[in-house]
Amino acid sequence: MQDTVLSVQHLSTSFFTDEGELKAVDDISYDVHQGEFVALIGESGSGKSVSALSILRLVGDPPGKIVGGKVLFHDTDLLQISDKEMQEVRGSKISMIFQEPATALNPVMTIGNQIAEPLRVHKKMSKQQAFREAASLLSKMKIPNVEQRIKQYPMEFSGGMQQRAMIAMAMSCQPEILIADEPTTALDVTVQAQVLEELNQLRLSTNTAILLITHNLGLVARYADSVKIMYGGRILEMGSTYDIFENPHHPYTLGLIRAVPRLDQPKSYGLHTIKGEPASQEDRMMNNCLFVKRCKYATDICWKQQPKAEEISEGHMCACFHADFTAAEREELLR
Amino acid sequence: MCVLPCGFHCCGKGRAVKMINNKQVKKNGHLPYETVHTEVGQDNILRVENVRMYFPVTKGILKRKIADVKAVDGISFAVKRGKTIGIVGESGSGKTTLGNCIMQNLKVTEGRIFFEGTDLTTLSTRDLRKIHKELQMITQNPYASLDPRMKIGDSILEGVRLQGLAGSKKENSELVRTVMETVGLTSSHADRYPHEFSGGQRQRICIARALALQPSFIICDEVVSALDVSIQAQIVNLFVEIQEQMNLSYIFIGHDLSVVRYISDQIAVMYLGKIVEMTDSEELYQHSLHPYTQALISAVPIPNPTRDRARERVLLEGEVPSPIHPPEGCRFCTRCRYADRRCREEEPSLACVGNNHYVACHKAVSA
Repeated sequence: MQDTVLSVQHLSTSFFTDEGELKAVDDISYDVHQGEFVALIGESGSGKSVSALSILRLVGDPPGKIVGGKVLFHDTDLLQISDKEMQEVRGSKISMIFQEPATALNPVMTIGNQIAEPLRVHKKMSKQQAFREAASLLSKMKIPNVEQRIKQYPMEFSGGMQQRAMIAMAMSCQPEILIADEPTTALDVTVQAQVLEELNQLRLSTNTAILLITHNLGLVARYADSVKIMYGGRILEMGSTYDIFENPHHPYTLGLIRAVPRLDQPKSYGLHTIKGEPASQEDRMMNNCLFVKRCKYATDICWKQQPKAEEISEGHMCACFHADFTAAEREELLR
Repeated sequence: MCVLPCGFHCCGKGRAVKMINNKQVKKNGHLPYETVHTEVGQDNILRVENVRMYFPVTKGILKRKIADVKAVDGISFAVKRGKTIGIVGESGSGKTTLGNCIMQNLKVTEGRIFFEGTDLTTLSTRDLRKIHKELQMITQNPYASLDPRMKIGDSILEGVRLQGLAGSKKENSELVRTVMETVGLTSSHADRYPHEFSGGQRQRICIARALALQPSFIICDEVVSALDVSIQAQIVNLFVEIQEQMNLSYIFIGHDLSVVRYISDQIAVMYLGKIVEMTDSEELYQHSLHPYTQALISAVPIPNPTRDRARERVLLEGEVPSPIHPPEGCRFCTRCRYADRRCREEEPSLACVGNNHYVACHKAVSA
C-alpha cells in the first residue's frame, strides 16, 4: 500500500442545539492513501457530509463543534493549526467539490476567473498564466470550445458542465486529496457516468486521492478502491470495494446493496427494503447498536451494548454482534 | 372483488377494499360520461395520440415569436387498465411536460388525449375537475408539494373537499385514517405538519393524498428520485402493492432505467421530445435496439464490482442538444456512435420490429 496522506482518528463532531447535543459524527477513524479512491456511503443524516466538512474545518461554529479526535494530514494535525495555516491547505492541498454546482459557483464571475482564482492565490501565478492554465484544465475535462466557454458565466453552463468546471477548479492546484460531496447526485445518469469517468481519469493521471461521499452504490462499485459505510454518525463496516460488495457482513450493508434496483438480475428477484426510517436523534442517545430498530437479526445483546468494530479479514472491519448470521443472505446476494 | 358504478374494479382483500366500500365514493363515483365518447380499445384506460407541445420563444417588446421549443413532438402510446408504462429519458427530453399535458396542466399544441374514452383536450375546466377525481399526479419534490401551513390530514382531504365529496367529520377522519394506513403512515399523525416528517414519509403523504380520491390512474413524475436508496425501495414496492390492491394504472416517469423497470410493464424511452424506443420492460432491457437505450442501460452501474467492471460500457459523449434547434435527421445523431450520412439527413420513424417492440433508428431496423 502507498503512503498514507490523511488519517482521521476518533473524529467526533457535534451540533449543540436547544434540544441538546446531536452527535453528527461519532468517533470515526479511517486512512486515505496516496492516489486512493475512497467512498463514504450513507443515507441522509448519516453524518457523511459533516465528517468531510470536519476534515477541512468548515463546520459552522456555532452550532457545530469538532469535539474530539485528530485529522492527520501527513503528520500535521489539521485541527490544531491556525486559521491562516488552514487557509493554505484548503483548495491547495485538500480541495472540495459540492453537490449543487449551481449554488457553489459564483454567478457574477466568469468561469475562467473562478478557475484562475485559486491558481493566483495559492500558486501566485500572473493573470495570463492562470487563465492559460484554466483553459487547459477545462479542455482536460472535455469541455468543448474552451476559448469561448472560459469567458461565460455559470448560468450559461448546463449542470454537467458546471460540475466539470467545479472539478477543474478543485484540481487546479494539484491537491493531494479531493473531497467530492455527492458530486453527481443532481445530474442525469448518463452525465453521472461521464463526470465520474473523467474524475477517475484525472485521479489516475495526477495521483490525487479522492474521498467520494455518495449514496449511489453502483458508482462506488464501479470506481472505488475502498468503502466506508456510515450510519447515524458511525462507521458500521469498512473494507475494500470487493469486500463490501461481494462479502458484506453487516446487515445494514447487505440491506443497502439489496435495495438497489439492478438491471443484471431478473425482476422476479424483487426489490428488497430495509424497514423503518434512518436513526433519529433519540436512537443515537442510547447505548445500543444504532441499527437495532431496523435489523432483522437483532437479539437482546444488540439492545444493551454498542458493538465494537471487529476485523473479518485484513482491512475489512464490521461493527456487528451477529455478522455470522448474515451468511445466507450473502449467498443470495451473489446469485 | 367489488365493482363500482363507474367501472372501478378493485381486487384483493387489503385495506383499500374497505376504502372503496366507503359510502362517500359510492355516492359520487361517476365520471362525466355525457362528454364526447370515442372508440377506444376495451382495456385501454388512456390513449395519447400524436401529442405535440410547443413553447414559443419570443424576442423584443412586441414578443415576436422567433422559434418554438419543441418539448413534446408527436408522442403516441396507450396504457392498459391496471398496467404501468414507464417513461425514461434525460433532463430536457420532455417527459415531465408530457405528464403535464396529460393532466391538462398545459394545453397541448396538437394531438388528442383519451382517458376512459373522453378526449381531455376538448373538456371545459369544470368537466376536467371531474376527470381529476380519476386522474391524479404525484410530483418529484415532496418538500415543495405539501403546504407547510396545512396539517397533513387536511392536505390529504383537500382534493376530496374540492371535488365536493367530503362527508361528515367522522367519515372524513375515517378516510384519512384508511389512506394513511394504506401507505404505511401512523394514522394518529394526521394532525402534524409536513416539517415533522422525513422525505420518505412526505412522499407517502403525497401518495395518500392522491389515493384519497380513489383514482384509477396516477401519473408519477420522478417520485423516488429525491429519496435515499433504502427508502426508494420501500416507496417503489408500495406503488406495486397499491396497484395490485386497487387495480390502478400508472405512468411512471424517471431518469433511472433500473428503478422504472421494476414497476413498469412497458417502457417508452424519450429523447428530445420523441419516443425512440418502446416495448415491454423485460424485452427492452434484454434486447434493446436503439443506441440511446443501450447507453442508458450501460450508464446504470451494477452494485457488484466484479460484474460491473467486466461489463462493456457505452459512454455517451456530450449532452442533449437544444430542443429549439434539434439536429437534422435523427435527433440522436450528434451523440450516436453508429451515425452515418443517412442518419443526419433522414429522420427515422417509430417502426414496429415485431413482438410489440417499436424503435426509431435506421441502424436498428437493418441490423
